[in-house]
Parts: sequence; C-alpha cells; structure tokens
Amino acid sequence: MDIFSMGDYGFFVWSSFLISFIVFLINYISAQRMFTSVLNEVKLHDENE
Amino acid sequence: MNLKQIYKYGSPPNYFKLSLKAENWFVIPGILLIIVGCLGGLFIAPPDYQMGDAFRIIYFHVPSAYLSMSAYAYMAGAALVGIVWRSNVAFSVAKSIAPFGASLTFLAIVTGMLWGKPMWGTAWVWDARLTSQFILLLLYLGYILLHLSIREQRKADLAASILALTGVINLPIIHYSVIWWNTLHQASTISKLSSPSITGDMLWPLLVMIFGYGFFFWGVICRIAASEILKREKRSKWAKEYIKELE
Repeated sequence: MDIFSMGDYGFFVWSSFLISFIVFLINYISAQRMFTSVLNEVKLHDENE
Repeated sequence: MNLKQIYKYGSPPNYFKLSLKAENWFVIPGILLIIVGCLGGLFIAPPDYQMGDAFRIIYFHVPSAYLSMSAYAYMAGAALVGIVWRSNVAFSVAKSIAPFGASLTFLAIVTGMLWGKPMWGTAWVWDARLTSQFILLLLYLGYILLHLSIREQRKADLAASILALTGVINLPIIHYSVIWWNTLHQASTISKLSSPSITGDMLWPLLVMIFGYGFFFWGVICRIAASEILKREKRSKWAKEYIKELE
C-alpha cells in the first residue's frame, strides 16, 4: 500500500501521472481522428468534383 | 543529406508519405521508454532525503517542461523555414506542433502546481519561472487562435509565424529565469549532464522519460502534420491518387 500512499504524497504524485497519461492519450487519439476526418473530407471533395 | 534530398523531402507528397511511415518509428519506442521511465521513477528510484516521494513528480514535470520549450523552438524554426522558403510543408509542421506544445506547457504548469503545493505550501506564485512558463502557454494559444481567426491560409500562416518568431525571446527568459532572478522555483536539476544535481539512481528514469516524451511527441506530430498537408493539398493529383490507393 506504500506504492499508493507515496509517503502521504500519493494524491500529488498519482495526479501528476494521471494528468500526463490523459493529456498524451487525448493528443494521440485526436491526431488519429483528425487524420480520419481529413481523409473523409478529401474523399467527399473528390466525389463532388 | 544534400540540398537535393532536402528539397525532395520538402515536397508535400514525399513529406506526407515519410511522416506516415515515421509515425510508428517514434510512437512505439516513445511508449516503451515512457513505460520504463515510469516504472523506474515511481518504483525503483529511491525517495529524496528532503522531499520524500513527492520528488517523483519530477518524472512528469521536467520532461513536459523541457519539451514544451523545445517544441516551441521547433515550431518557430519551422515557421522561419516557411517564411524564408514559402514552404507549405514547414507551415504545416509549425501549425501541427502548436496544440501538443500547448498541452505540454499546460502539463508542466499543472504538475508544477501539484509539486509546489506540498513543497512550497502554495500551488502558484508569480515568480519569474512560473510567469514566463505561463507566457509560453499564452504564446501557444495566441498562435492557435491567430491561425483560426484568419480565413486565408497564406495570411494565417504568415501572421501566426511572425507571432511564433517573436515569442522565441521568451525561451531564454524561461531557461535563465532561475539564475537572473530570485525565484521560489529551484535551479535546473540537469542543466549539465556532466554535473547533474541528482544521483544516478534518480537520473536515469528522468533521462528515459525525457527521451520517451520526445519520441512520442514526434510520432504524434508526424500524424498531425500528415493530416494538415493532406488537407491543404486536397485538390492535388497526388492526394486524389492516395485516396484511390486506399479504396
């Protein structure tokens, strides 16, 4: 349980870990989604021409 | 690499293909390094004799702070190349870096606050390091908003690039703020690798995390830059051929 409490600094250490993880995940997912949406946009543009 | 090769990879279709190929060369090692760094930093490194386990926040704070500054330098460099060579690829790269750079700056500030609260007794003070880091966040946001507010692509690229180049003055201010002024923020931990102020047991996970963050960052930028280039080049022949290849 020492791992979670981190010498009473658990909230601060694990919050830092969690926020970093979330920010990285959001950036990764949004990059993938952006690519998919651009692909669809180009496809649509191509079909309309 | 000679000038001919640089021009070759500076063309939108070549850069687009290279970016997509390079993405996984960066993302996968980045994730592996971050996992190793987290394990080393959270579980293997010994607690600090003064700060105890709270010092482990360093493994998230320092890499994001370093990368937020270097990402800005890359963005300004790409903006400069864009202005000088009128390169659409360089403008795309600069634009791609801004959102991730802003989130890294946000991360550096938030993890710094989480470290400051138990160590200093306050999450925020307007000292030189914290203020200049906050200005960096405003510069990133300014770049993004300026780009969004101008409809014409060329003008938006140019205006945002000028802002990015002007903001470079803030980078040495952030770096030297702890030397030039009396700050609550501590001095650099590893400004010189030959004489770091932390022991090797604590240093290696930090270096691994810095490299991991860097690799992951470039992997994500490869994908965003590829999207941006494809969006700008949607009327071109190569973009249409690429879409047909996918179908």
